[in-house]
Amino acid sequence: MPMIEEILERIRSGEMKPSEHLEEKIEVLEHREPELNAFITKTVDLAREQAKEIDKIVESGGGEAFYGLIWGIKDNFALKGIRMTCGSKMLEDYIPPYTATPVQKILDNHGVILGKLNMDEFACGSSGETSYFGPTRNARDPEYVPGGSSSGAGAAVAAGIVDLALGSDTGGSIRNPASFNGVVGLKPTYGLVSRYGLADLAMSLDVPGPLAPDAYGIALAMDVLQGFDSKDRVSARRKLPFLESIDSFDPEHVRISVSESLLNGVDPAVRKTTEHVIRFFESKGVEIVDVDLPDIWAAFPTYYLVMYPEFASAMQKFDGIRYGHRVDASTLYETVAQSREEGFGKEIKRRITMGTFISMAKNAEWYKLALRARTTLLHMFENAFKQADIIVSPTVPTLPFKLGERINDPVKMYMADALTVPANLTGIPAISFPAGWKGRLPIGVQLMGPRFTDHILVSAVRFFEKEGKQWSE
Amino acid sequence: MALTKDELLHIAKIARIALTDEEIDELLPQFNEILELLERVKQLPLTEAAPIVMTDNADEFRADAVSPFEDPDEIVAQFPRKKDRYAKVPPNL
Amino acid sequence: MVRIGFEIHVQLKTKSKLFCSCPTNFLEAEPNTNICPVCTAQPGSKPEGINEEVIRKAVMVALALNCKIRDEPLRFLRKHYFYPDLPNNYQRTSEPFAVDGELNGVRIREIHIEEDPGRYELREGIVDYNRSGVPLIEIVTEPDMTTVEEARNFLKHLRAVLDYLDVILYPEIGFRVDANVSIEGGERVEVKNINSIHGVVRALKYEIARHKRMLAMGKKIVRETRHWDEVRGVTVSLREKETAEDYRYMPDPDIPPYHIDPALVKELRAKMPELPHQKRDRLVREYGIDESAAWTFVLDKELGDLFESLAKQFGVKNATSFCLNLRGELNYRDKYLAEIPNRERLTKLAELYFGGKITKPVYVEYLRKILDDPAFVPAEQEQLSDDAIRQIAHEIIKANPQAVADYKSGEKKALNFLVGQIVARTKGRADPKRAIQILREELQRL
Ligand SMILES: [Mg+2]
Ligand SMILES: [Zn+2]
Repeated sequence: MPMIEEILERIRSGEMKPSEHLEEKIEVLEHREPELNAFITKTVDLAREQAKEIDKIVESGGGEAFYGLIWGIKDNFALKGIRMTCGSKMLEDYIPPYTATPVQKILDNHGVILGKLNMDEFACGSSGETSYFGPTRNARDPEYVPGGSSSGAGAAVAAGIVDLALGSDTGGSIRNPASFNGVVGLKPTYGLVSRYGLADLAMSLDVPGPLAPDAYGIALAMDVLQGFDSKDRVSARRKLPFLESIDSFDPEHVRISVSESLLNGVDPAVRKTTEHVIRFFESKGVEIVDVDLPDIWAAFPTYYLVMYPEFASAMQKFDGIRYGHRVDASTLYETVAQSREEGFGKEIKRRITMGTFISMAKNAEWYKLALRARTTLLHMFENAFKQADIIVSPTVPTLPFKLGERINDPVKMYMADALTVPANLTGIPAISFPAGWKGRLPIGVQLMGPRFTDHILVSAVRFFEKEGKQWSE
Repeated sequence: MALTKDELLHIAKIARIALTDEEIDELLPQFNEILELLERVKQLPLTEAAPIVMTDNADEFRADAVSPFEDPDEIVAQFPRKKDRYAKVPPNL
Repeated sequence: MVRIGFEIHVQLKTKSKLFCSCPTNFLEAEPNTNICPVCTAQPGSKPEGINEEVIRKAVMVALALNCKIRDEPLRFLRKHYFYPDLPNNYQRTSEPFAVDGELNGVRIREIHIEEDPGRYELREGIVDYNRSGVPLIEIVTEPDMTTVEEARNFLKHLRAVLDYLDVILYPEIGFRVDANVSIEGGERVEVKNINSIHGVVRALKYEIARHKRMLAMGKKIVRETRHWDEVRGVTVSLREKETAEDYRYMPDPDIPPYHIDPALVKELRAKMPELPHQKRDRLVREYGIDESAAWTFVLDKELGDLFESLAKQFGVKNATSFCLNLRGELNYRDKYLAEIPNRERLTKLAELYFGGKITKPVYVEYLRKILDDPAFVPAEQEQLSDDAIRQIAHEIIKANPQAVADYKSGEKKALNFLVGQIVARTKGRADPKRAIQILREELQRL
């Protein structure tokens, strides 16, 4: 697969028109999509119109950051006039009346949108199997799950159908499919990218972010996506130098930690890949420090304590009155209850019910417990970052598994998030990049850093891409 | 802390989900398994929590300026049932 | 003993809504036009940030009610319940930002900010979201009032304070009141959604009588919520669902906490306008009117203002009588002066009357017409000439020989009767003083 830089160079130099590039991608789409089911809605006509416009602009010497690069958008971001389903029957026919801020930025910067990507229903899942529109398949081996919930994003980037994809990450939803499909995925610092137009999963954890074949694609995307948005009051007034600093990773001045607590119970191939990455950095002169994260095991239950109530709250708005699936019953109560019963899948009802239970007045101590646990974890990471600049871990403790293998065992399924949720709970950036292979199955490794060091993580991945070699077995 | 079937039905009512018997039989043991898992948080050495504020933008407000949304008709167009420009629901007498 | 407390919801006068930039003029707008993704809870929308003007107006009210502004970050909570007019199926409501106030001898427990839901017509089953997200403050009192009269006085005083601060979005709507009532030996009952002070008075009287009747019959008064049916003039039990609502309060993660800056509080304190009690004291001091008349005037802000301007033009005595008459007529109509259109007509009326251009009966007639007919314009009326009055006097004398005889035999009251006949016949166009003069002369000649 050609790297993002090469494609950009060919377009900028006039060697290839944006519309020619698009036609190549449409060919890949036609070839791969029937097997992968990475898209919920294709916007081929819209993309062709856009590409033609950009052709003219580039020809006359203009062009914004993306120069007609092809984007896929996870289907929980609003694009005005194009249906947005969130992978749910509830929103099967919903046409948003407005456009999400990150999507608008992509359009303004001459990204071409080829479609809305498949996902676990309302982003609730780690395998891509809970979508109302059918499961997505792993781009490297269709017997396997693509990870989730940005399952279409991971698969479409890995299959080369799109150059870049916009995903969202609440507990690992960008990094998990990036890892399972062998691409790069960044969960930015909470607030670095506006959430306006991203359907809520858990408001204090959600963050939009890019998936790309390489670190360059991530940096290119983040330079555009980041920035304050008055329509999302938690968005940050900070801008980080992504492309500017992409080649300035300096091994002499970076301390990387390894922590045994992050490798406990991990699949042997995943463990070997992680250790391989640490050895690589060590060989380049990075100081490796042992950092203890004694309470990391608590991140996973804490995540669920925080997420369930926020999710239940976010899902209250779906009642079949203003939009979405509607069942007409004789009473108001039944109309709402049956619309929800029919519109939501099993995992959604599971989470709404759990969230409602935890947030009931008589269970108030649960929510307090979650806050206190979250504070404990914050302090733990703050201490860890006094000793190390980057914390390395596997992205997912296991290799990709086969479709249907875990879908009826929620607890086991939730375990896939154990290593990704700490970054969401603490708001810190985390990136997953392909670092090894077990046969045809990719293995991702995760780097975490303090808040607003996203660009440093991207430069570290770039350094590995240029200087390192992937582990394989 | 274990959840009973009655409690589950009560929650479903508050959450406006018309769970079927089949769903209840499947969900109940799963809930209790999940709750057991969540209970483990209590083993953490807990510090007194300050509320988590994931933003540096506290203490800011928005100026009182009107900027009408350009497409209210598109919002109305999404109402699954409507009467003129109103969203329609069963009357509540 | 009766105990009465209130929760009072006031829509604040701002241009845009609490968490989005839609206009607030829901009364004038076509249904579902003042809406956007935020105030209709489209998936993916987030609150835009707290409207600065809401905070300013809310703090002004709190200061006028002698509250302490809490020196802590203000958080907005989500209060969850399903209702068609509530787009998110949770209402965003702040923690109390002000506590421990007092007005008219009633303690103010707390004030908080919340968003108004849309408008749901139960009977038709239709929903309009224009009002969704309009800023409200809720003022919560302690149950310090023990009579309906005290309750009425408190609400009138509060209403005046809000008018003086100019913070009510639609003065003709005023505020919405939830009243809680209890009498010794019974539980507390909450009566929801009363839309006027007059309505509160009726609802309280109804409810107190009901409680007394129940207790007299040996029945229990249970803690419940009731609805005020304005048309039928009764309260109706809102049979609580088999499950009590669990609001599941949760801090809204989309709204960063807001710390009300003490500097802002200081600035607003300095800008505080004259309040009703201050104006009353000034009127007493400057115009020498008695305190109760002054209080009557200032409770209706426009009336107080009118009094001052009339007093300057026509003297304190005239202004006082004019404004007391006006107040009486307004009370009869349950209206504030601000609800009367084209109020400059009242000044014109005073000019006519005090300038001797119209008679007292005409003045009274005109005053009523001004209040009831927005199109009516008072004008000087042609007065009958002495000759015309004399002509009528002749006719009256002829038609009432008995009264004339009574007068001749020294019955002075008979003259009043004859003058009354003239005034009635001329529909007030004869000056009564002239009429008496002419009538005397004519009777003399007989
Ligand atoms: Mg309230
Ligand atoms: Zn709005």
